Amino acid sequence: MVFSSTEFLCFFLPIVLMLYYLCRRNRTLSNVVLTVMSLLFYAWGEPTFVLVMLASIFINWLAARVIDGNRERPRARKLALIAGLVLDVGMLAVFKYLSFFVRNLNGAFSLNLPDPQLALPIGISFFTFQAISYIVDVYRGHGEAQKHFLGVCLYISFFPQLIAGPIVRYETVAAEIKGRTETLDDFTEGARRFMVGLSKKAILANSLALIVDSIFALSPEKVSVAMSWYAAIAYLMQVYYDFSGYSDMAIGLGRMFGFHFLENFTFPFLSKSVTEFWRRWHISLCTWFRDYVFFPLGGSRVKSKIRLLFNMFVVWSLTGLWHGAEWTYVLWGVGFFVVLSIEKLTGLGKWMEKHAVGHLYAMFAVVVVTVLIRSESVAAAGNFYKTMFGLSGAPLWNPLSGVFLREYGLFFAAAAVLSLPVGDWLRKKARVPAWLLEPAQGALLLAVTAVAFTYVISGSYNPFIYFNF
Amino acid sequence: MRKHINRILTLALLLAIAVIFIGTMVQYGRNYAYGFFVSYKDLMPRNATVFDDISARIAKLSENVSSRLFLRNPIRQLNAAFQLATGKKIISIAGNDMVKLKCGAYYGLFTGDFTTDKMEELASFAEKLKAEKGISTVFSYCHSGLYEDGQLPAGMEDWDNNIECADTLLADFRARGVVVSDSRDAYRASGLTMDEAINKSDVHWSHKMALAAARETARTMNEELGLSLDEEKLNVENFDEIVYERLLMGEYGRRIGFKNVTPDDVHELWPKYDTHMLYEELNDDVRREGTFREAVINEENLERDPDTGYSEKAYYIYSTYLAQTHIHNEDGEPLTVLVFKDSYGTPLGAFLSLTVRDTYAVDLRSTRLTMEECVAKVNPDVVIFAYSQQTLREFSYDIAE
Repeated sequence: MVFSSTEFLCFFLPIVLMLYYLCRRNRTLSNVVLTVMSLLFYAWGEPTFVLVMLASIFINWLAARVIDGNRERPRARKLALIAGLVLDVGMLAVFKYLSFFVRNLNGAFSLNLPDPQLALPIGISFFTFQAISYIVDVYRGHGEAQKHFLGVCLYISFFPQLIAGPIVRYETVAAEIKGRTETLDDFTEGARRFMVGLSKKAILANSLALIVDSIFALSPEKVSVAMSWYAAIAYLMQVYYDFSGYSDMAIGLGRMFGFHFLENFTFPFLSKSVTEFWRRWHISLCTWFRDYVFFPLGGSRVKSKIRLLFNMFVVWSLTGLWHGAEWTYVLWGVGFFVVLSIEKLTGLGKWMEKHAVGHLYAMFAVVVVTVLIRSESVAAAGNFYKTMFGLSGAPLWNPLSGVFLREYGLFFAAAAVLSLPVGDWLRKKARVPAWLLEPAQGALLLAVTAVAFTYVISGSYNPFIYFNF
Repeated sequence: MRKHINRILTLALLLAIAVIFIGTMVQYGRNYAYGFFVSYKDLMPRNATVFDDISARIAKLSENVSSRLFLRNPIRQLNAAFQLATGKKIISIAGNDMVKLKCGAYYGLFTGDFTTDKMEELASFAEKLKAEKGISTVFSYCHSGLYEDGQLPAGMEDWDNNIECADTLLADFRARGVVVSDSRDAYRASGLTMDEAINKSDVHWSHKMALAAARETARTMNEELGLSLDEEKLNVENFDEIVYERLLMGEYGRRIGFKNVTPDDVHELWPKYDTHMLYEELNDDVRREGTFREAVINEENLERDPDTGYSEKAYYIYSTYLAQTHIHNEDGEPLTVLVFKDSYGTPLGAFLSLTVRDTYAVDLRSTRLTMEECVAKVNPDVVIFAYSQQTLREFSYDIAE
């Protein structure tokens, strides 16, 4: 089930809100309600995968109990941590990467190993990373282990962040699982945030998806240079609105139930370097890799540049693989490694951050690299690049380019403008008074949410781009 | 101030959700309950596990949510109005990208990739039927929308691949030795105009066009299979008709509303010559006997809804797409024909029954049987695949277990 669906909006959400607030005074009961409804939410896609998730939760609950119960026995703690990590990564490896591995092995050595072709449990990358966060944070003493299975179950399966993040660190919500206070102000602020996210997803992300999916589905001879750039930029914005929209909805829903998640995006298109872009984009994943992979490898405080490059390479290859088990994703991660390494070693990143041209540079680099994860294969990406850079003989413009511009140009322009902090500019630079700005923003949000509502109820195009994640 | 505004926004959001939730439960609660507790079983595979049971119930709930929702059509029409207000010519609703053709009809663009996989499966099945049982097959292609060039808005000809897909599929069918009847040939031979051939508010073709396609199918069967069906029985000049003006509001029309499209005229057609038919629905308790008009045509579907003034079901007067039908016609050629069909093929099969003694028609969406099992059950002389391109692109049926 996705948030921008009629099932969720008009049925699941009112039911879970009613049940939760009916038993709000009893913390255990309210947590049971959230957990059961979260499992139902997950089962909507494929019921059998609930077992996979429950197995993962059980393993990590047990591992954390062993870690917590052996404070005086470091070896036992470490063994429990390693066992938990091996099982977590093993589960991810089997479901997500085994088929990829076998296919590549067959291709490289002309073998004929059977491809297991296991279906990918939705959101496995997200909940596995949360599970790892749980046992590592308990091991590091950044949060108490949950004594009851229910607490871990709720932390990992909590439906707002279950299938598309943000990756909530255990230390962020450990205290709120046991005791939290729901207030009217939190509830209404959360509802407002949910409305923002729903509008981003239902109106902008889905409209941009129509541009992207249509152009990428066309046979290459029908795509002009202009269309290829239009699609590439639209794709970056689609991912942004889809992902940040989901994060907004998750943060908002969390708040409606008394949880406070951290921000996941802070206007990434303002960036003047790719390094800055990754400080503003998918923050929960970047900080996860920083704290659980990069720092344990030694981070940037290493003696040699070679070692630093190695650490960065590991992190970015894994980031690519985390997004999907395809070479396009691996190359996407490696692509960012190359750009970020150049920025770090030459000082290009810092120079760009001081100059306006940095905006163009950063967006150009991110758009070009991101084409990789939208392409069906590395070869298809290569062909698309040829068109983008005028090497395929494609015309600069054709009649179909006009159709796409006319049909979706308004949505494209709105998406570009609204990806910037327009509200802040109006408040700080144009000095629009709060008494005018606040009601105007409220009215606008009400109107766009109404439009988003009509899109959801209409069953409009609503792709789910996290299947690979 | 923000706090107060947040409260107003939250109230509006919760109110909108509550209206839809409560309205739907009041209006359709029984359907939801029936789906969840009873009819979900239709979606379960053989040897179902507990997870299949849960999946089937969830699927049934989802199906109900997408088809039975309080205020769904007015909300869709609001959405269409918004899209048109932004200057778009393509209205994207419920998985369709609709554009208005020059003839005034709404048309769902065909823009995605297509493969010939399903065609290959059907062709292999046809070969198997011929080799193992001596049964001949005909593919009766039901084309949708574009019967003439120059109908799409400027620039979209390069995008829409309806014609390209149809030509590819039919060429491949012919190359595999399958006999093909192309409704586009029927259109050219019939002298119909686009206005007469397709509906403006609905995805389906008109009944006149279905009759022309049935005649073309009979002609092809005679020519290619050496049969002697009486094609003149399907000549429109041998039919009486009543025109019900502005009666059918099809799916497209209901999505975009009266402001943008008026309901379609419906032609009820029945033979001028004497007929005596037996019509039965094998998956329901329906059995009618009499003339073609009395037995086959379900005139209840011609009734206007007292609230809206139009009918949503008028296309289905020659049976619904989900009915498994048997039509016995004592005056037809002594042949048994099995028609595998979708909603386009439904009226085509009904008209074709005027030329043969026994016509069975099955939409695989209404049965758990495979094509092979249906053939074994009916033991036909000829099998007809009467499918539109939509079905061939999205074909998810079992041909054999």
